[in-house]
Amino acid sequence: MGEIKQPQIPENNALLADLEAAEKNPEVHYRVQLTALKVGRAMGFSDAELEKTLGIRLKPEDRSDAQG
Amino acid sequence: MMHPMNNVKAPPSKLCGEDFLAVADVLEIQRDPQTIAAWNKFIRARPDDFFRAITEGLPEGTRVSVKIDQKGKLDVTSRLEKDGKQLLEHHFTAEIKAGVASLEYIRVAGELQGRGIAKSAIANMLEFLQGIGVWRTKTEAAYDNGAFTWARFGLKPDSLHWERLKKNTLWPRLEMMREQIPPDALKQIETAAASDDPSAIWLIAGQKTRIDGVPIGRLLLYHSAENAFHEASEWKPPTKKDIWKGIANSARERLSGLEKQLPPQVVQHLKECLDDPSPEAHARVLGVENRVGGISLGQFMLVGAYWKGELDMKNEMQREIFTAYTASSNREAPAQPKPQASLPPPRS
Repeated sequence: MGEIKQPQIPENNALLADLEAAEKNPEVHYRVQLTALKVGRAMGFSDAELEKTLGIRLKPEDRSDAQG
Repeated sequence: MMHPMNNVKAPPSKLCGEDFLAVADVLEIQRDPQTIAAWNKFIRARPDDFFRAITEGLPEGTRVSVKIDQKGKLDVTSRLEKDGKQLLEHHFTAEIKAGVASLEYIRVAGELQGRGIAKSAIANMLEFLQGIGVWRTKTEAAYDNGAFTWARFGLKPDSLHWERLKKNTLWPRLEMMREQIPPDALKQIETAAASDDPSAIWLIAGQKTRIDGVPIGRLLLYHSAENAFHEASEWKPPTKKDIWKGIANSARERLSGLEKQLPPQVVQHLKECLDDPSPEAHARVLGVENRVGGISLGQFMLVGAYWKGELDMKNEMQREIFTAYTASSNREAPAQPKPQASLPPPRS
């Protein structure tokens, strides 16, 4: 089990279509990209570098230099 | 709106086979004593509550089939058929005692895609599983877009498959496209691809830089090429011809979104190659060197790759990504991890 799969035709893009639709909501897109940004931050990249490649603008409270 | 699984009440007493009759037209399950005993031990929900939890947000007419044994092995398939056409099929299994599930597959017909049906089905599954104490769900990310999509959804590869993904996919693609990738993005992907932490896949999948100059032949053929079309019941090792058919199906879909960037005669040539059942057509597609662009770097790096991994809802980052997507629909975010499942303890 697990190695045997059913036919994979364009129907296997169903989840991708849903995710793309959900990401049109800016808040959803922001939250998902913020997680990616945190991974990049842990690798030593700056917020500015990551904002550019991930296509988000950090909210003040999410910046690495945010107080608290 | 309260999700049904958040409001499941324990049945007043142990269920018997007759308790399932009221939903027998939509919930298929053997009503023998062993199955009912396993249900009482592991599921502990009223059949109508269970059905609502699994089908919340799915089209009316969806039917659910359940198998469960006394070792806690669970097998659930949701299906919707209309006029002889299968519109939805979602299959998952779980080893309840081990606390691990497996998303076997989900398919939604093209006309229903983009409406949140696949997302709802998966969210329902995960929420139900958490209710019975199963927090980890494994899957295979493969075929066409799976390796990219599952990473976006918050899954990550296990260590073995992360190493394979880096070696077999990420570094070769980086080498091929190095000149086309802007320096900032290149540095991040190189760092991620050198990391031992599979979470780095989220940084790669999230790259939004659009890249140009991608050779169309190669892009169309990115595919994990595993047993792409045999029915499980008829499974046998795929032949070259079988594999080519699966790759060509995926390539046709990918080409449809890129046609406008290519001269008509090149599109025609590619279509003819993809309709050719002979695996030798693969080389002819690969030989087409026209370039396309406007592709997000994250998607380029991961489409057609293959990995096995999991979503652990006790992992804070994975749960954050998952809830970001599911909170966009009319449902409550799943509960935070608790020491105990929300349902009453198993009855012996």
